[in-house]
Amino acid sequence: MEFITYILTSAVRSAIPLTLAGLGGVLSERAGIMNLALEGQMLMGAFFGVYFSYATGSPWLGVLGAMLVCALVGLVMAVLSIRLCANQIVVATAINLISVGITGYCLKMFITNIGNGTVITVPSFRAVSIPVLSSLPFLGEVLFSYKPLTYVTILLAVLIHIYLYKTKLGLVHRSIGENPLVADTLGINVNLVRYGAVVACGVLCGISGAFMSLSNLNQFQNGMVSGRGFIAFAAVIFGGWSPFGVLGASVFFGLADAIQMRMQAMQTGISYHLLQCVPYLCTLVALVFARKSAACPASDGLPYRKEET
Amino acid sequence: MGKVILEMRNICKTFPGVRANHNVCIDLREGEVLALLGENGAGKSVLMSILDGFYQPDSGEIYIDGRQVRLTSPQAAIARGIGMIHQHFMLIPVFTALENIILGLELKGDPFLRREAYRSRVQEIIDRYGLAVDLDKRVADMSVGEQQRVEIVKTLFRSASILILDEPTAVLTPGESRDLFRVIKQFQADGKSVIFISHKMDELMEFSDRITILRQGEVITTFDTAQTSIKELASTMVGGDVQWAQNVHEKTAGDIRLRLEDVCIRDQREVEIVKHVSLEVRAGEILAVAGIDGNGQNELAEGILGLRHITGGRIYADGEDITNASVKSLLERGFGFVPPDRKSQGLVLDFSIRDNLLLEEMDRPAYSSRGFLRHREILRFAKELIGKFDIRPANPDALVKNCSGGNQQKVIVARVFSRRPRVLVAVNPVRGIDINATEFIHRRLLEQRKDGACIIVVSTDLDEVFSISDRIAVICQGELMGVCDAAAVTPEDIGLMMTGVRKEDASCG
Repeated sequence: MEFITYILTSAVRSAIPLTLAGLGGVLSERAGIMNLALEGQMLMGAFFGVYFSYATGSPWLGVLGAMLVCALVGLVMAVLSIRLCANQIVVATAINLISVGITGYCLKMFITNIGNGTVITVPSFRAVSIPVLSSLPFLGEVLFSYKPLTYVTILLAVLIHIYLYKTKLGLVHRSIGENPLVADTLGINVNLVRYGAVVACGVLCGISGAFMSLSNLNQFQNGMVSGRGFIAFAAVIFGGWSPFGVLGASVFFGLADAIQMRMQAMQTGISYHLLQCVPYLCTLVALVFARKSAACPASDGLPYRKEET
Repeated sequence: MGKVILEMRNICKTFPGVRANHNVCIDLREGEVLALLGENGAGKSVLMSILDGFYQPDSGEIYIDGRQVRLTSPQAAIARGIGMIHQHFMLIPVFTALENIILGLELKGDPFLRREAYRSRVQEIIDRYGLAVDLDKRVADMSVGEQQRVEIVKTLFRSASILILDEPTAVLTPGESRDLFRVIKQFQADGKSVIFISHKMDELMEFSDRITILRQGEVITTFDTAQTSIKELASTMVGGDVQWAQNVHEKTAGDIRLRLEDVCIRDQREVEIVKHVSLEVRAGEILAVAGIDGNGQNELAEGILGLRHITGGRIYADGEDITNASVKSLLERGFGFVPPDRKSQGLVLDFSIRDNLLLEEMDRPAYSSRGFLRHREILRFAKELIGKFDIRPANPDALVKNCSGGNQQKVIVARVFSRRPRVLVAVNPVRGIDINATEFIHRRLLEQRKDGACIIVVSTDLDEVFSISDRIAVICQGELMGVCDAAAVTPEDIGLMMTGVRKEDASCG
């Protein structure tokens, strides 16, 4: 029982940053912008979450800071890929690489200038125990004993689901990912929606990164996102470009992660290097079995240039 | 007849190198069905796209109810009551009919998508016009006819009073076409006006009030449908008064080189698009396959060249059965192909002229050895072809995408013709290129004939058909309407056969 509880709670903890970034990916790709820059934006979010949390003394303001910085990164991505019609994969790759450089440099400055050479642990989130519910046996621990951002994430998944499927703007948003020309002939400002989607994706990646640095480690380490942005990207596909699908896919990858961590702890004699590959292997297998093109927005990744008139 | 509600005056529109519309004037009356007729490239679709706000005219005015308007976008057009049903439907396949119809409406105000609130209003339109549409069905699951009805409902729901239909029946079955015209009659009864573009003369005669004919971007005339005939329309459309370029019929034809026996082709949807076509083409002869776009002629060409599976019948070359032979074996046999779409099928646009010229030749020992290209030889080869075919710029390293359409076509023609094909199939070899390049390519085709090639030219352009062919085969809806001697037939008769009249009934020789 204790084993199962451990696996489940640790799966949820791994799933949350994947879900947050994946939700951003859904918004971006549903508007037709293929967003491979989840990784880089998460890394920026992780660092600036720590930075602003240290500067303000509040992890909440830390998250807010991370959101703002990543919104800016999203805006850069938007200008390059929407306005300048640059290749979206190249732009995303550039952002991923630049983020490694920026966060590495800033971390060094942070440690030398503020921490006098030592790694600083910053104010971070504590688990909220929901009264009564959290004291339930098993369920209390598995469902009601997480850091606050966990609940925020689930709320965001619900809100984004409502936005995409229950509002007029959501219908418009999805139509742009399918065929921007149709939306354009109906008087919809295609690029405005695309800007909004990419910036919102940045904001969600910011929260995701800040969750990783402020809910688990309480500090920033170089390259700490280590491919989770790409797993989130895979979760978008595996989850069929829908918010709840991403949530489910993220929990699946989270489980794989939890199991491999547990196996490391059990000292099975298998090299931890190999064990660490498990979630990534699961990603590959999952993508093979994902309902392929079925739900993929038809215009995902294609710039929209208005016809010469 | 009602009052004039729409006028387009002196509309001019030029695209780089093409004069699409020149001083075009049309008018439309209340409750009227106006048909636009003309050959491909006559400027009908451009004119309608201007009316729909998709293109801006270079000059000219548009008046609605006597007041001048500027239609800067499709939204501006629909706000004035003008709605267009494009040939390629503007629908999102993964959305339901209802979602497509209400997409983008009333974005300000209540943010929630209340599908049910719209449903009764949409259903009202469906019922009034008898448009059978299942509002909860995904567009992707619909037949083309039903998709078209969704598009019509979408336009009507946005209160269009002038409906533009671009070749609406091209994609419909005869039954669906009849239903569509019943709907159009109902619009008329409601005082709405319709402009439709069609090539099908019998439809025009039956359902339109007036017919405006365009040729080469200009309005030739407008007929009252009741006072004209199919024959008059056909001759006006192709310009009976035009002097056809004289093709000197040197009797060079030799033995039968290519023989098609009862050839049938079904497409991916299992629809038969080529039906029991039998043809013989001789060495030293040019056979033109005339027909309105999309009547199976391109598929027939692809079938002959091994690019499309022949589902029935046989094809023989020099008496040998080559049905469904591989493209490579046909190339080795001396088949050559000038494809219909030079940009997607004929050229690698991002390659240089030299590399494009090399594409079919690179296996030859002269140009490669042990897998490595022999650049000096290749350069000599490219320069020679550039000179011989007058390709401009005369720079082998210029990128093909930067060449004009005519020069792009010359690159293909140079590549194919330099191999001295024994059987040559050219599909619309001069489409969209200027008169000089056209003349040039036609002269080269006649040269190939003189050299004894067996040539099939698929063309939708009657000028071209008459200026280069020895015999003309006319295809309509995948069926051969007949084969005529080019010297003994009139463009009017060919025009009639293109619309589905058999040779026996077209009174031609």
